[in-house]
Amino acid sequence: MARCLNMIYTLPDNLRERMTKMLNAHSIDVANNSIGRWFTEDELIKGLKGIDATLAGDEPYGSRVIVNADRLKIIARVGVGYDNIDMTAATKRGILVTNTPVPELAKAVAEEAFTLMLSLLRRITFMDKVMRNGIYYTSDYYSLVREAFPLTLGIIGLGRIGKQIAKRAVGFEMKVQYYDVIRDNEVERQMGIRFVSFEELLKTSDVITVHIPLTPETRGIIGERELKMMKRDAILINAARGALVDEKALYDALREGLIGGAGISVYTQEPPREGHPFYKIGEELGNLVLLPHVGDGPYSIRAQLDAAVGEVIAALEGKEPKYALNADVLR
Amino acid sequence: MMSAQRKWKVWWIEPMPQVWRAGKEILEGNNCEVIMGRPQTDADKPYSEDELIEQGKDVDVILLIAREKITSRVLNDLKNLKLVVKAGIGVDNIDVQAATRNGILVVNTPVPADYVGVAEGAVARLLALAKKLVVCDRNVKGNVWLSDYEKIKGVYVKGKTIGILGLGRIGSFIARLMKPWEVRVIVYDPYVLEEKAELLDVELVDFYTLLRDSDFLSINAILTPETKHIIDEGALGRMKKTAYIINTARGPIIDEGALHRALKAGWIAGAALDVFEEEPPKNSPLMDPEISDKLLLSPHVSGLSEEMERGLTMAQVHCCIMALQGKPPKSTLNRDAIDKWKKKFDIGA
Repeated sequence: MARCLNMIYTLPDNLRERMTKMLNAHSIDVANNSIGRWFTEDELIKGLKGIDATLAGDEPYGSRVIVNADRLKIIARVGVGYDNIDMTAATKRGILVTNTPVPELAKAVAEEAFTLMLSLLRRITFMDKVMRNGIYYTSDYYSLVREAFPLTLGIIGLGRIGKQIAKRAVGFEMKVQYYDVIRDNEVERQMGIRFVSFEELLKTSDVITVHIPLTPETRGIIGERELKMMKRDAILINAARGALVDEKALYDALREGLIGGAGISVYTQEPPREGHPFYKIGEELGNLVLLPHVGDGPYSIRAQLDAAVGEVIAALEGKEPKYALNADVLR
Repeated sequence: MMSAQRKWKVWWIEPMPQVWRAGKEILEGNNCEVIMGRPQTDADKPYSEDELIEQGKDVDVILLIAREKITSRVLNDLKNLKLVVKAGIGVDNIDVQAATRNGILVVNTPVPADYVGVAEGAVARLLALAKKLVVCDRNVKGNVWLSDYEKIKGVYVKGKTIGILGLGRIGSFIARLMKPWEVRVIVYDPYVLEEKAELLDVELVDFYTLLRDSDFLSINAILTPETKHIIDEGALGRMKKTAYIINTARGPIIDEGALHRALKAGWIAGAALDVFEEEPPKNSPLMDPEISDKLLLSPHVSGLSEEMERGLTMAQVHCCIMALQGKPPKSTLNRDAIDKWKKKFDIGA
């Protein structure tokens, strides 16, 4: 009997049962990550012994892990980003890698990014705090709250998620501009949004939100230089991948008031550990709003899980999965 | 024209910080003498009824927001008073009937900057509740990651039912903002026509359906005897255990004691309140720390922004100048007072 290791430790019971039933119906056994966090490399090497498939989270599939996996046929990433997987090594070893770019996920991330944006514009966390401290009114409030409708939103990366953000922002009557390596005239026309260069986007946007995959080229794409180009009251949103933003440079920029605020739900370390600029940051920066990296999780997890389970079943039954990232291993 | 020589004394009893200066200059350039009152930031120091009567005895115009109560006694006693201009929509702090009896015009300022701002503020709070923003932010900043997973697990807005109580300008705009989020929007408003609901692509429902079906219930009604405590224990008991309430309208629409019990007992999941029965809410049961994670608070700022303040202030100034020129402002709420107003004060043609 084939064996599948489910790495997603945050699954609620009902979804775990659902996944187990679906796999069992195809004669696939299921083991679960029960340690309450992502596996380390060593744990993963050990855990993959005799395993045919994984429902993968953020645990690291580096070349050492891949070379040591004795039976692994598919890494079915539950999520979109796969920067934790060494694709070259996986392909070389004939291991299929899939992800789950289901529409649900794009919408869930868009909801999260939009929540961060409006919360910063409206100072939601700050207002709640002053109320709890018994300060009802200070003249400072007046310059704090901003409306979205006169503002310009800059979207870096107009993929599935970027488009969902654009749709909501257009509803708010924001001016929407985007930068992407591929220009999409059709979407520009349909949505009434405009294409600008990366530099112009940084300089002219009131809110900047990043929605691109993490690759060697995009790592640190928002660094000190880019932060300095932004408006003094610009708000930066990162709900994509932590390493797209130089976190130390962002911390400095927020402290020095180079930009107006930031909303972050992804980190270079998850959770941030000692030495990370946001580790135990407490109330130090009032213009920083942090969410844990679960963003899409609780909302689109069912759709993503179903997709990933479908990929595992297809791969183990010798059929072509729907969202294969290295389909050439099949040929 | 007579009106060109007329000079009015304008008492600006609650000016908004910063923007009032420009407004004062315009008024002074248009035959007005302007007396500045306590700024809006003195939220807990409203003029008492006696102070209003004493200090307002020879004023022609009162510009105000929501802090002061303009009672029938004030309106009867201020013999020169011709015009009361409220910045914003709701005039529940003004006895409009008494004003009408005295031939005094009551005017509000429904400027776009106002209702758009409140609508955006309501959506921002809805999303913050959905994503458990305050608890999440505090936990991550304190290095509590996913260990409190049930507390930080938010809900997906897509597919949910957004209930709106009151389909005025603000409620309508919220419906519009939420359209792209793939939600169902239901509305209870007994004064609204089916055509308007159709135009906005929302469903009109009865009050009980609104309570029963809403995942997020946004209060956007004006405060009247009918809406006071309309959200009481009975109403809260009919809601879903997973539902959230957002109130950016007027505090007394919700019975705070009942909401406190509802949150404590888990009848509903949470609430965001920008307005309170008493502002500031010094003695509100809602300040109970035991329910703090279910409650998002803000100090009546949901519509607040520089854009809005400028819009409201300039609209107040504009209404004042129009009236001084003998033209009842378009947003006059007691139009049946206009004839008496003209006769009593010898205004206009």
